[in-house]
Amino acid sequence: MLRLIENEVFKIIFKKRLLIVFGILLVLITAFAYGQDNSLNRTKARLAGRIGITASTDWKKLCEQQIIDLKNRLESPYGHEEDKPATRVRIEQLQYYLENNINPLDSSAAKFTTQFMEQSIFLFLPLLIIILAGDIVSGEAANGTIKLILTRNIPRWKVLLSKLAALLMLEIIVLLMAAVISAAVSGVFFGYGGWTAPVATGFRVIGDRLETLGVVNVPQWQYALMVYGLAYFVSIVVGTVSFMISVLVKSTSASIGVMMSALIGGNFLSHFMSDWKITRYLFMVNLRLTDYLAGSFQPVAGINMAFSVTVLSVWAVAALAISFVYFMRQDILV
Amino acid sequence: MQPPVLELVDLKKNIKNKEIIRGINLTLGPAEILGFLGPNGAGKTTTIRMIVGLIRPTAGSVKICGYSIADDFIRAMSNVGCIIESPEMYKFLSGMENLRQLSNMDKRITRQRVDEVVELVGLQKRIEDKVSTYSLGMRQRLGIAQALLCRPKLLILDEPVNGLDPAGITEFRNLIRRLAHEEEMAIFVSSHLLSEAQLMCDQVAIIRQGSIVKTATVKDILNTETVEWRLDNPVKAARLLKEKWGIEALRENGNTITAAVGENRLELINQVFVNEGIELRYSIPRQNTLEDMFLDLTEGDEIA
Amino acid sequence: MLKRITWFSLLIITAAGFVALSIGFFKAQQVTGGRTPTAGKTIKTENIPTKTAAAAKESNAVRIVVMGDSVAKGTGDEKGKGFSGYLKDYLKNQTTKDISVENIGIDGLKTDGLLERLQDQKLHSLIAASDMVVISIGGNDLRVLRSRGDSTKEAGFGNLEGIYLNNLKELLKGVRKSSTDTYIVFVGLYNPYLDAAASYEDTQLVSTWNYDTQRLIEADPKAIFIPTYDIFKFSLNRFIASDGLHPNSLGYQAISNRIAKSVENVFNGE
Ligand SMILES: Nc1ncnc2c1ncn2[C@@H]1O[C@H](COP(=O)(O)OP(=O)(O)O)[C@@H](O)[C@H]1O
Ligand SMILES: [Mg+2]
Repeated sequence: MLRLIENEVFKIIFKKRLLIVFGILLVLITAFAYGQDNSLNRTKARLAGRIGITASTDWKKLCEQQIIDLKNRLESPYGHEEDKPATRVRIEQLQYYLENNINPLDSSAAKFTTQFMEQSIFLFLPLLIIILAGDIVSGEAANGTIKLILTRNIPRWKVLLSKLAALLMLEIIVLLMAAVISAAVSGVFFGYGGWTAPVATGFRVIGDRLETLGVVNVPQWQYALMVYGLAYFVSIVVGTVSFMISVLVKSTSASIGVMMSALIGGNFLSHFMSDWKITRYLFMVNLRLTDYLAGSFQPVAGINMAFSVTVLSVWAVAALAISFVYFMRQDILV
Repeated sequence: MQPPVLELVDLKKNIKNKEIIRGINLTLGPAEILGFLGPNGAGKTTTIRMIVGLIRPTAGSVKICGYSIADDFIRAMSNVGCIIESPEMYKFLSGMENLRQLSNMDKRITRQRVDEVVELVGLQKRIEDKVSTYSLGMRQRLGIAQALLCRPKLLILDEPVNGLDPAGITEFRNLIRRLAHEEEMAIFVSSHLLSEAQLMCDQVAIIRQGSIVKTATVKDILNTETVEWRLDNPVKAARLLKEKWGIEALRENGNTITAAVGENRLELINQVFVNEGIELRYSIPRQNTLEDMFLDLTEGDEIA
Repeated sequence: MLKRITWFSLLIITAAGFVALSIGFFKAQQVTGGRTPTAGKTIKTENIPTKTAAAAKESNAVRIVVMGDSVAKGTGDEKGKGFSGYLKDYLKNQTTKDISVENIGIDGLKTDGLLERLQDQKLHSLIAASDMVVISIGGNDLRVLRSRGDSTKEAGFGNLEGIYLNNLKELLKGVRKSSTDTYIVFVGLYNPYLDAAASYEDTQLVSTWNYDTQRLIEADPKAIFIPTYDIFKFSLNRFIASDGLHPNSLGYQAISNRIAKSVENVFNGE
């Protein structure tokens, strides 16, 4: 079995799919990092212009000020009880910035690496996965080599399983590439530190309200690990759905086309038809898992992490079932 | 008793409610070479796909060395090497990489075996090059190499000489004969080129519109003889043949007739013709060919 | 050979990656999912001194409640005291009585928000026990106007001010419901944008706003309107914090002085 997986992995590598993904990542991340650096500088300039002092030198005062304000709020008996953990967490963060002499406005390699994946998880990362997975089976049908591998003394399900395993492996490599490239490139702009800075998380969506009682600070590296873990889950789901399309469709371009339109269409749906109940069961709408970590608002109201993860898992399992059943029974007529 | 290497029993296939294969029975023993002949669209490839399990038969069964392809796919396929239609390989890999990939899929195939097979098909010089740079002939060779990797008991080749040059075809023919005789391989070759089968095969099965219309050994076919006469009164000659010997003569063009007559009777017949006042220009005994038989049998088929 | 090395390193990398990513994923589930034990720990139970109205009103203490927006709270003061802090310090020096100040200012609060808070039973009892309630509110009500386009200003103003004055009336009623005899001190608005956008129109709006507010406040004999407009007009640079909006420490001290001067005799006399 390992031998079969090895075959599949090398096929993808020799087909230069991984190289394409690497190239796209490199170009995009560089552009992102440059853009962020630029907009950071502009923000600072604007702040400086408005307040009349240079924010880059005076951020400490602002931090101290904010801490005092927040502490007052904590001590006030009339603040909402449930705001307090978030307040406390914010104070911790500000204190960390002060103690470690980090301007909270500034970015860092660690921050960027995390942010990049948070921004990519619902569209860009899935697109990369589709590039990787889109032709994994349909490619063999398109060039006829499927006859070559299905006339060995190996059952069909094993052939398909090895392809799936190869895909799951390479998804890890893609995430790793994204992380390493992000860290390496953004470090040039923002410095290579920031891995221990505290990040707030632990928000929960209950009903259609964001609950902040459980908010805690975790170090940036741990937060990044969570973000990439969620990204891997998303990759698996998008990968298996894409895998299914690749089994069902005989041409690579059709396979990639179907998946891309599904993805982009789904993103549109979530914007324009967010009150339509059924959209919440689409996998494309549930890809923004990292938003639950950061406690941002959802495009479709009333869904939370557990819901999204369940929906995505059901999609993945269904896609796998369909892939295997269809592949086992299919007549190879190419 | 050893089961036959290949046994097809009443094999049928419908695709989209169209009967493509309408009940094929065949057996093939070790060291036999079977030519599976038929015009384009007759159903050769479809039959082969069923043999190697790429498609499911609508009815009937395929057994390879006694193992059913439907129930015991792995053991059945352990004995098969095949090329189906054109020999597709991974173009972005080298010839050697392709073979390595396939040898990874079967524990029995060693590194030496890969090298051995490459030498057998004469691809040593170019084996490290990308397949995308190969000519069609080289791809055929690689295809054969790939089929031979697992030392199959049954070798299935679908139109294998397409794209080979004359020298390559001769080389290929010798290879096939050698494999059958030295390694006792049963070889199933489909072709629409009859001249090839005649030189290469022991038996032929002729398929037309999904049914086998004739199976015969090549020797039998070659033994059937005909004679061609050129004379001034072909109508009278034909009547004489019919009256005296009960032989049905075919009127060809102008003054030529042909009839299936053994050489032993030719002298007598010619004597009678002369006595009856027919002016005889010449008479030639002619060996029948597969070509003739094939044209007879498939007459009226449109070429697909 | 190179291929084998590549393969084995790929295997190891992906195996390690898989473990790490799985940990990350489950950690993320934990953090956003079921209740973590830390959540319970962070919430302390109420430690507010529940002074009921009955227990209060000892003549030996002066109880002050400061409520309202960020100015009430003291946002922008680099020393973190706000006018409530300075007022407390000042009064302490003036009398022998115990001075206690409860500051329940909230950033960004508007009149409707404060009205809502007033429903709170705890706040009700606090006011009931108080000798003085200092209110700073309305800045955020007025600020809505600034974020709108200039063309709608005139029209929008009347409407907005109407709502504000209504709320303010309710507010006063609410405070009086809790306590009929506490002193009400209302801190007027200043204009932090004087130098930046010193449009005449703008200044006009703030004046009208303050004037109408003052008329409403002064209708209550135990209430007083403290103007701040004049303190800041020529001293924005000295009194405004680096956020360009809130008073800084000096600014709050100035406000505190105003309030103290107006009320010190009330408490001394008793
Ligand atoms: N996928 C398909 N759908 C419908 N008909 C098919 C399909 N594949 C082959 N056929 C039909 O089956 C018949 C046999 O085809 P094939 O086995 O490829 O012929 P051969 O290999 O003898 O040239 C042809 O008439 C062809 O039109
Ligand atoms: Mg064919």
